[in-house]
Amino acid sequence: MSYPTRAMSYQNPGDISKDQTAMWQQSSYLADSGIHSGAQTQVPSLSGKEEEEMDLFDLDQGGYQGFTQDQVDDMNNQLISTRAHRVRGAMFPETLEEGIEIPSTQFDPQHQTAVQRLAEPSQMLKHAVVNLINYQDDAELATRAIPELIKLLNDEDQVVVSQAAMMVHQLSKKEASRHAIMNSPQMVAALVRAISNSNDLETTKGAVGTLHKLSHHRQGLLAIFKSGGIPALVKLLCSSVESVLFYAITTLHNLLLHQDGSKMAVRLAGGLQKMVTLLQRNNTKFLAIVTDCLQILAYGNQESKLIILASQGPMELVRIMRSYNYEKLLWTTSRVLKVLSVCSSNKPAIVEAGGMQALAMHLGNSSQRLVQNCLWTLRNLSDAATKVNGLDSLLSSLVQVLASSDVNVVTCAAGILSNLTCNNQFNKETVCQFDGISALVRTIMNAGDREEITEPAVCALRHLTSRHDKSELAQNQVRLVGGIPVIVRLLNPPSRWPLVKAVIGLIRNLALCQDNFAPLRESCAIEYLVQLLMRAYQDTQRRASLASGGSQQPGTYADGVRMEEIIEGTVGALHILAREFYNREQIRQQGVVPVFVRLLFNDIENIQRVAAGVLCELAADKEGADMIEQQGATAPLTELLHSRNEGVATYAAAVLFRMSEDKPQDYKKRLSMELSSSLFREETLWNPDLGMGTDFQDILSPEQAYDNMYNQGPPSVHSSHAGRPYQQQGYDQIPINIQTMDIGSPLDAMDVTGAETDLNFDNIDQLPTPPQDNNQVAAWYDTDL
Amino acid sequence: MRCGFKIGGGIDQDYNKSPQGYTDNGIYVTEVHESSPASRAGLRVHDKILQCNGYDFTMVTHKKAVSYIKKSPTLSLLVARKGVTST
Repeated sequence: MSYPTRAMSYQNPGDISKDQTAMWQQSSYLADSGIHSGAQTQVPSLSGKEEEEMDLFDLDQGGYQGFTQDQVDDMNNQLISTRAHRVRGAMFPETLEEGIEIPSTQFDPQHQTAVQRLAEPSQMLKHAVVNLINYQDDAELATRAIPELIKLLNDEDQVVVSQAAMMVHQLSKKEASRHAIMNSPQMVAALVRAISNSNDLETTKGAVGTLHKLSHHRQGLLAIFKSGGIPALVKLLCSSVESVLFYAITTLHNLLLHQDGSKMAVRLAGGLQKMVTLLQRNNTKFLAIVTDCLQILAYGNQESKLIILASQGPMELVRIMRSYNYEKLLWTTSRVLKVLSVCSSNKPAIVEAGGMQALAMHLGNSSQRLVQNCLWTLRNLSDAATKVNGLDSLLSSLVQVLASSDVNVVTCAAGILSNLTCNNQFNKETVCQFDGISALVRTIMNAGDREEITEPAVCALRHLTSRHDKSELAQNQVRLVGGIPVIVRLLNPPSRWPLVKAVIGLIRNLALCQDNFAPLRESCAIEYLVQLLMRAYQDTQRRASLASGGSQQPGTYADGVRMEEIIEGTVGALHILAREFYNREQIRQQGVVPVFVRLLFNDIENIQRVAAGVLCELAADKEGADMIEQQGATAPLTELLHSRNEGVATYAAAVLFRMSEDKPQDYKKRLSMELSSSLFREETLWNPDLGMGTDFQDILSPEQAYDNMYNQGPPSVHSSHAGRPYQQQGYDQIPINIQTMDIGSPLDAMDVTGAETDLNFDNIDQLPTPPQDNNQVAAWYDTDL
Repeated sequence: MRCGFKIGGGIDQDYNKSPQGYTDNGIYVTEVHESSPASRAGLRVHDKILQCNGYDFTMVTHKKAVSYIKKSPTLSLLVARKGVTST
């Protein structure tokens, strides 16, 4: 506080004592008024209220020149007569009548007068005394009254109880008596009892109002908790009275936030079901507290998530996301959805309730925390939403936020796009329409070594460049925006295996477009792929020799990727690249033909198939065919004619056929008979004279949902193969583009499934046995007791 | 000590898969052994357990239900039975 213009000086030392006496005389009764008037009972009263009153004394100063002696005497008299006012103004400003003019005595604006300097400390002292007196009063009153009130709260007569409850509520509004109340366990217990037993509204209101006041203090929370207040409060959540409901939920909220053990107590009292029911109300601030409670209860607690699900929570939460625009409510609700979205049972329920669309509505919000939570939730949900349509606006927003400068936002957006474009033609085309290709390539360029961004972005591009009507446009677009060198570079360190695997798949898809052959070759894609193949092949050989004699190991993982997958991917990509003459020449120069031939012996059918496939392309040139024959491929290829796998048999036949070009006539004839006997066995007409322009649309294993859970466990994308036997995953899931095959007869034998398979690895291990981690909905079982 | 009955269901199970064709996530008595304490007490197959010793059973996981039942030596069950509680 400062009083810059009010002034006073003591030029007349004789007056001091007189003034002082006057001051004390006045103060002796004036000071009392503050205490008894009740005006000070709002405890933290050292506020600015007094300062406003001070402004009354902001009088103009200056203008002391040119006065006559009479005038000066006059002024002196006036100053003397108003001295008491000045002192009072400094110490008890609230006692001055309004409108009194008190002349200032300050001559030098730089120096405060003595009274001015007195003003601030004296005010503080006065307040301290007043507070102390009030406080002591309250505390003593409460301590004396409490035993009496406890008795009344336990009275038989409901009217008495009701009066007592209201009185306690009044007391609880003052800090001192509030402390007295929470220090008495019997008192808190009596209040809880009153809530549990009474049907009287006033009693309930008073008691729960008091508990609400107590819940702002740590000690109060403990007292409520110890007195079994939580079940009583949970019961009140059924109340139809707004104020009771409000007190109850805020008290519970404070307990959940600050009191250990409250979460379990609320769950046991059935609080979750009641809170979910409350979500149907429409007071936004109230809803924000309810949703925050739900978030606290559900976080890290699977059982709570299931209870919320069983009470129709996801539906209500999605409705809130759709219906309101109060930022705090949207934020707390998105946090509950985020927590639920990692639960495999809640996920489909949220998606089914339209959660994806509802969350998408807020991606343009100015609140960063809301956007971020929506994105996290969407990412968690996205692997369960690959079959959902009507996500246009979401997809468009996602493409837009890829340009964000916030790393978290970009990471999430790329992850969601990757999942939503997986096996969903409609979404693929939509993203292409919004020029998602350019945005994704730009994202990869800007991301540098940030694999949390590059990996999902590459996966999304991989999905967008295959198996939909606009895939060829997409393949071209990647080249046109200069993406090829950037993408190929990602095959090198420091990229880790999951990223490398995704890049291999993308390069394979890009190679489906003829115009991409040259740029891919010029970016050294072939050299890098061959290097990776060699590394992976040597690794599997080394492991095989270590494990020799024992049963074959399922293969080890490097960052969750098996070297067999890398072999299959690189050979598959080289197969597509080998369609072009110059590419074939370069592949031959790399000296990998022996490895391809060796891979024909591999146990995994998919690897046999891609190896036979690349050999088939290489055999198109005489040099290639000779190299293959020199490596002794004839025997294994002949063997493979009898493979159960149509693809393997077909390619093997084609390689043999091409190798026989310059052989004598009777050899060709024998080969032809061999081919017919093995390939006709399933009533498939086979014309060995085929052009072999087979376009295997997706040789790589089918696209996998980029299912990266945000807050639990390792990302399942890396281990997604673990759930099923490796051999079963391959061929029957690969639709083949048969138009380019020059066969005139029934083609269905090659197109084994035709339909795209959507991989949702989440539900693979839903087994009818009791779940270990309680995270899956088990089918049904009994327990004998 | 055995009570002589089996329970099925719970919020973590899928009632659509129950051979009995239950229609909610409650805890149901799926079998009562003959002349067991449970059958002497009058428990019957298909009773839906609403409460056990005061604990709510309409919204519990299967595991929780089992642990509550095993917890105390005497059981006080509140059940809903078709034909008694509804038509």
